[in-house]
Amino acid sequence: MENVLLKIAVRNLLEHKTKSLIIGMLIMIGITILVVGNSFIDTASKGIEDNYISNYTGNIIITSSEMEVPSLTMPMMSGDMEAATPIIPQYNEIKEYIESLPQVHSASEQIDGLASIKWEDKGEGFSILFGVEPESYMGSFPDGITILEGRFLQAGEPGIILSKEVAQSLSDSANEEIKPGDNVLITAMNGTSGTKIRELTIYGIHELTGSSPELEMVSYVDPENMRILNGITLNTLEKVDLSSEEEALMGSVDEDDLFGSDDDSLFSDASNDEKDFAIDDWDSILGDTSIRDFYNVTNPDGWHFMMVRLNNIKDTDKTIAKLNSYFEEQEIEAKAWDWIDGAGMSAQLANTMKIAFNILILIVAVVAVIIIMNTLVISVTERIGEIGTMRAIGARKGFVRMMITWETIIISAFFGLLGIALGAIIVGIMGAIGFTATNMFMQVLLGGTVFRPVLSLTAMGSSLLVITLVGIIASLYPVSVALKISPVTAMSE
Amino acid sequence: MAIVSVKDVHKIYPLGKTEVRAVNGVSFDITAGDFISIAGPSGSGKSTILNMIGCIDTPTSGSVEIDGTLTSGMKDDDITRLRHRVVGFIFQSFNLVPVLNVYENIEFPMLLDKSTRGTKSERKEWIDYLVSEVGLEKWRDHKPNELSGGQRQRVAIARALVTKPQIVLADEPTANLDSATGEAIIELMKKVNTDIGTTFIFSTHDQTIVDIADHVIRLKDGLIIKNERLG
Repeated sequence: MENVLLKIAVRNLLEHKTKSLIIGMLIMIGITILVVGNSFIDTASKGIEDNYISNYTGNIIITSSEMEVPSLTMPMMSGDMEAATPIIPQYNEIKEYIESLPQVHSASEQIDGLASIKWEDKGEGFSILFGVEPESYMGSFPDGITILEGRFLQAGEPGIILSKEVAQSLSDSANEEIKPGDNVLITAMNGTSGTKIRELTIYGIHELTGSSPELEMVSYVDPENMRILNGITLNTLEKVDLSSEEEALMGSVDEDDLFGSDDDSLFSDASNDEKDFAIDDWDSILGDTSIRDFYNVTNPDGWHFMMVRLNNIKDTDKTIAKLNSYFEEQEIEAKAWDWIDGAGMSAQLANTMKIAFNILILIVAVVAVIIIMNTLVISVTERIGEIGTMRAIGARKGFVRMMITWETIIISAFFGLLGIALGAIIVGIMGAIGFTATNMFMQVLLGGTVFRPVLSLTAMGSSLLVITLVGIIASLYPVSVALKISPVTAMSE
Repeated sequence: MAIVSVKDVHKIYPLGKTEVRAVNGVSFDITAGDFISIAGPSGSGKSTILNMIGCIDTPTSGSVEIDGTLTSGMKDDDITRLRHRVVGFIFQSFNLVPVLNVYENIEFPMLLDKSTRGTKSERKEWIDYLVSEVGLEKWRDHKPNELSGGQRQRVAIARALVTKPQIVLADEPTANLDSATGEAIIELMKKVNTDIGTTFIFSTHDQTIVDIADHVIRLKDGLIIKNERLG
């Protein structure tokens, strides 16, 4: 019976060439768009993903659960701008647990900051700062950095590695080339610890692998100095609960009471009272400062982010869920995020584009379903007599259903494959030619400066899936119309 | 023995807010091997009765029995199977499948059920016989649109006979044919009736068919006005 079904289906399609061609062309164009679009997006996503995961974000990012957005490149976006960026609590416990997971390849940590950089009196600029432990960072991201001049930091070594762009901007403003060995003043500000200034020696000038505009301004600093710049000291570990009286006292103190008085007798007295004042006098006034000194020591376990690289990208979602449930069980106020959450705007824009393209696919699919469905319904109504006759002479409903379905399958498969072939050719040509992203927007969108789309099996597979679904859905209503045709209509033809 | 038994059949069609009474209580039996004509003017109810005998329509009340099977209340698949097994159809407008050639059109009903499918060679032998019986050997690979009206009706006759049904229903089979072709078609059907013993039931107002029939049922306004056996 399949033979006769196939024969009738094929011949009906050939008999109604115009209609078949309209449906077929629509399917072919739709599939071509899908294949090309999906290949573009897959290539861009893969490029961005590879760049980000292997060079900068890892697969999973761990932060304090207080962090609202785990943005690695926009530290000021990570939470309350007035407050300091929260550090990961119970860091050692988390690190130990993560390193015990078999799916984990490596983990490294990072402190983020934003600072102005001053090169003596010669030039000024600004930079995003990543405070990292050189060994673990390079272990996680061995290909992430290309040293253009000098070298990367060594373990325990204070210093800075400037990005090419930051170095260029300092050189431009100074009209003199900045080099490894020069010293720069780093000034960072944050809401809790105020302004911090450190002088650091430049050990190298680097370029991050993979092009992404927001990464161009990243310089690397040793973690100790980053903690000082960010005010990550041991006292930040302790939460001070004030009594209501203390809070009232804090609120009642007016700065004018302290500094705004016209009475400058304090200073005039001081100026008139010529007394020698030795360090010992200060020490005797301050008394025992050991507790204060202790709390001003930087917190060696203070990190903003932990980037976890997995052996297999497919384990990402599962591992994130596992980590978050571990944090919950252990009552650790930390959170595991997908790399995309911590990546910059390139990755997120590409993700948004992917969502937008999927919506476009959905719209195209709906339009295709409507057009194919209408054309098939017209085809069915034109063949009411024929279908009625078939029913009269013994064809069951299943036969009619299969006949219409076969027609849809054949036309979808034939023109769908043509669409895939055409899409593959277009992607092949575009891949051979390659696109040079001429502006930042395109670089962000395409995940690099030169973009060569590659035909992906996923793109072809998803295109086939879409067209199969379109074919099935589009045939449902025409089939139901055909099944309602009574054999008695054969008599009235 | 009655191959068809129609008992007090009424058929009422709704037409807007009114009703059309197509058949108003009709009863008759048809004996196996009959060459029977259901005659009457347009609107007399002959096609409606033919549809009910052919199991493609059901009576509003009354009963139709085909080969001892009551057709009322049957499931679609069951009634389709009964129709396929017992009834062959010849339509006024031939109703061939336009994309199939003569051979394939005749073969088509055989492929619809396992019971009639047989082997390819068995089918070929039987179809070749039918094709030669209806005189279309030279046309077996032609599509319906390449044939004359008479040739198309010959294909329809062969198709109606291919599953070896006990009954062939023919709705105005000569209405779209010239008189000479019409007569040739009737003669062909009569020959099959005589040779194979297939029961032929015609709805017609063609006097030539009425004259050749051995059982005539005349209808008017949905009622039998004459039921006479001539043979």
